[in-house]
Amino acid sequence: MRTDKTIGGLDAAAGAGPLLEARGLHKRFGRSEVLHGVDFSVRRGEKVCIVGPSGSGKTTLLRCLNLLVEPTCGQLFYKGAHIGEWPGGVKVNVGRYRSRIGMVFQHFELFPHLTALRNITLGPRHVLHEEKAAAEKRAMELLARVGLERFATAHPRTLSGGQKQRVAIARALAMRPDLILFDEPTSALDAEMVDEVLNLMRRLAEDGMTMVIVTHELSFARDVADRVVVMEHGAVVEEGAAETMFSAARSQRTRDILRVGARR
Amino acid sequence: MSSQTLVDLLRGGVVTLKIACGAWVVSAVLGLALAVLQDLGIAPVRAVQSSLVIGLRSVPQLVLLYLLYFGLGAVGIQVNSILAAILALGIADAAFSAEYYRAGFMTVPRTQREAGFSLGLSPVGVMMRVVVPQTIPFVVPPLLNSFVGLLKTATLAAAVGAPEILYRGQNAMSRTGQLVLVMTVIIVLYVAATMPLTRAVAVLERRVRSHAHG
Repeated sequence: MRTDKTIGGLDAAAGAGPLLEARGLHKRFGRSEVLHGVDFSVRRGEKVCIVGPSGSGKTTLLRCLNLLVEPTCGQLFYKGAHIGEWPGGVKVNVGRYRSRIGMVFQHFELFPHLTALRNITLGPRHVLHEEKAAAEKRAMELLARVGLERFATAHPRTLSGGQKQRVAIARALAMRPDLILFDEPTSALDAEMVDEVLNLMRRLAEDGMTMVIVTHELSFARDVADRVVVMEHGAVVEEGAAETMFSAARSQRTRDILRVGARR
Repeated sequence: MSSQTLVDLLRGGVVTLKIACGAWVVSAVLGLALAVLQDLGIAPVRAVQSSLVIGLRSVPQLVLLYLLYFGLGAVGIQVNSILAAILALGIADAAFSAEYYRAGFMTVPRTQREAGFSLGLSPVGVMMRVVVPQTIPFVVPPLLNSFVGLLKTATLAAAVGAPEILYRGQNAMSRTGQLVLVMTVIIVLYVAATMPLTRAVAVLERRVRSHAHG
C-alpha cells in the first residue's frame, strides 16, 4: 500500500487527456492469451460501448480497467497518473483507485445478507467513512432515483432481476464514482426487465456520467454510445464514433458484428 | 443421595457450563481469526498458521491443559484452574473451528468478493463485511455441535482440580461410596443439557440448507 502522496494524481483535475487510458494490455491465463495488446481510453463524460462475440476479451478488458484482473503486460493511466505498469505492478492504493470507478456486474452481485439500503451504504460507510445518517439519506435519494424507494428494507432475494440491477447501479452511484463500468448489465435479465435497466442507464448517460459498457444490446449502443469499440479474439477490430460505426464501418467483420449482433 | 450432594453436583455443572462457554468463545473467535488470516494468504502467516493448526489437532487436550496450568505456573504465571481449562480447551478446539469457517468461506462465490473489491474495500474489509457475514449461517450448526463436545471435554478440567461436575462427583463417590448413583446423576444432567442442543443443531442445519437453496 502506498501513501496518499503517490495517489495524489487520482485527485487531480483531469486535463485535456483521457480520464482512463490503457496502453498495450495483454492478459494471459495460463497458456491462453485473452488480450493481445489492447489500447483503450475513455474521456470524461464519454459513453463507450464495447461489443463483440463472446470470448472476445471484452469482459477481461473491463476487469483490467479496475484491476479485478491484473494485466500481464501493459500500462494503465488515470487522469494522467500512472496507475500501474506490467510486468511490474500497481503503483497506487488499489482500494482508493477502485473506489473512484463503479462496477455493475452481469449477475448483480448484491450482498445477500444486507438489505437494499445497506447494500448501497456499505461503500460510503466503510470505504469513504461517511456518517451513517448521511450515507442513509443519500442511499434513500438514490433508491428514489432508481424508482425503488419502497424497497429500502428488502433483501435481494425478494427482488426481481431488474430491481436487483437497479439497486446495484444505485450502489455504484453511492460512491460518487468518476466513471462506471457495466459488464453486460442486462444479459442475465428476463426480456421484460431489460428495458427498466436500459432506461435507467439512458438517464445516467443524459446526466453526464462517464460510462464504459460491455453489451450485446446493439440498439442501446447505437442510441447511447458516443463511441463503439468492436473486439474479437482479444483485440480491437475497429473503433469509432457510434454513428459512423453503425452506418459506415470500414471492416466487413465490424459490419457483421454490428448488424447481426453477438449471440452468447 | 443427600440433597447437599445433589446441590454440589449442580454447582459443579454450572462450573462445567462456564468452562464450556468460555472455551467455546475462545474457539469461535480464535478459529475465525485463524481462518481469516489463512484466507488472506500472506505466505509466512499461512505457513506458521497451518503448522499451528496441525499441531493443535494432534496434541491431546489434557496435555495442553497440563502445559497451560502447570507450565505457566512453573514460569511464575499463576492461572486458576478454570481459566486454564477455558484457554486450553478453547485453543485446541479453535483448530477445528477454523476449518468450519474455511468451509463456510468456500460457499461465498468469488464474484461476491469482487463486488466488495470494486467498491474499494480492502481484502480485510471484504472478509469482514462481505464474506464472514455470509458464512455465519453455515458455521453456526457445526459450532453448536462443538459446544456439545466442549461440554464433555470440560470434565478434563477435573485433572487440574477445577471444581466442575466430574471433580465434585469423584469427591462425592469417595465420600459416600455411591458410585453408580453419582454417575447416573451426572449422566442424567448431561443428557438433559445436550439433548435440546443437539435438536437445535438439527433444526438449524435444516433451516440453513433450505435457506441456501431458497
